Amino acid sequence: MFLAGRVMNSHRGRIQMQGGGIELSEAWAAAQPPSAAEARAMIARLMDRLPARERRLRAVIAVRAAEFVEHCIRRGGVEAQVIRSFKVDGDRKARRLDIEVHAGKAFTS
Amino acid sequence: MKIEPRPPILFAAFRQDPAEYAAAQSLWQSLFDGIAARRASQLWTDWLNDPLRDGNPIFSRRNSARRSAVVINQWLPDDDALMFQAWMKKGGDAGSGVTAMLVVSCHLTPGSIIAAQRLIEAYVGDGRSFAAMVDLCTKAVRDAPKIRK
Repeated sequence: MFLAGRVMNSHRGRIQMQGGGIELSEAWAAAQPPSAAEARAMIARLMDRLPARERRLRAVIAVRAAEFVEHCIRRGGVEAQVIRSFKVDGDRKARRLDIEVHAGKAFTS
Repeated sequence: MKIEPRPPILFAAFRQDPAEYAAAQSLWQSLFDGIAARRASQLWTDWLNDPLRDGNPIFSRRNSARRSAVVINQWLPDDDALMFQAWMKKGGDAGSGVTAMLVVSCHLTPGSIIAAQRLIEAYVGDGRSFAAMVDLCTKAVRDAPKIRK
C-alpha cells in the first residue's frame, strides 16, 4: 500500500521524528487514506529506529501522536494540509514527532 | 536553567472560546502581515488546517514563489514548560510547493510575540537563508524561559 513517489496516489503524507540530531521518516502515498492501525505501526517503526535514550525521551509524544490519530478517527479523519507537532516537554532541541498530511485524507478508519 | 513564574498568557482560553481563538489568530495574522507588507511582490497565502482548533497550528502562511512557509503553534503551559521554541524544517511534499519552513511554537506572551516577530522579520522580511535561520532559532531558544508546572 505504501508506494512513495506514485503521483496517482491521492493520499500522501508522512510521520517524522525530528530534532536532537534525529531525522527519521515514514511516508505514505496510496489510493486509500492510511488507517489508525497503519499510523500506529508507522509510529512504532520510528520508535524502533531510535537509539534507546531518544526512545525514552520520546515515549510520551509517541503516545500523544497515537491519541491524535484516534481522535481523528472519531471525527471522520483529517483533510490535507495538516502539519501537527508533538514536542518533548521542556526540550530546547526541538525533539518532536510531526504528523504531516500533504494530500487527500488520513486516519479515516 | 532559568525557571520563572508563569507570566500572563494572552487569550489563555483560546481552546474553549472561539472568540479568543479568533483574537489570537488575528494577532498572529496582523504581526505577519505587517512584516510581509515590506515585500509587496511576495504573495503569502493561508496554508494549514488546525483540525482540532487547539492552536497546533494556529496560523500558517506559505509562499509558492519562495517555496517557503511560516507556521505558528500556540501552546499552553500544560503542553510545554518551555515558553518559546522555534525551528527550521525542510518540507514536505511537491504538491505543497514548500521546501522550507520556519516553525514557532510558543505560549502567547508579550515576550514570545517579540521573539517570534524577530524571527519572522529575518525570514520573511529580510529573506535570510535556511542556515542563517537555524542559527537565529537556536539563539532564540537558548535563552527562552521555562516555567514551573
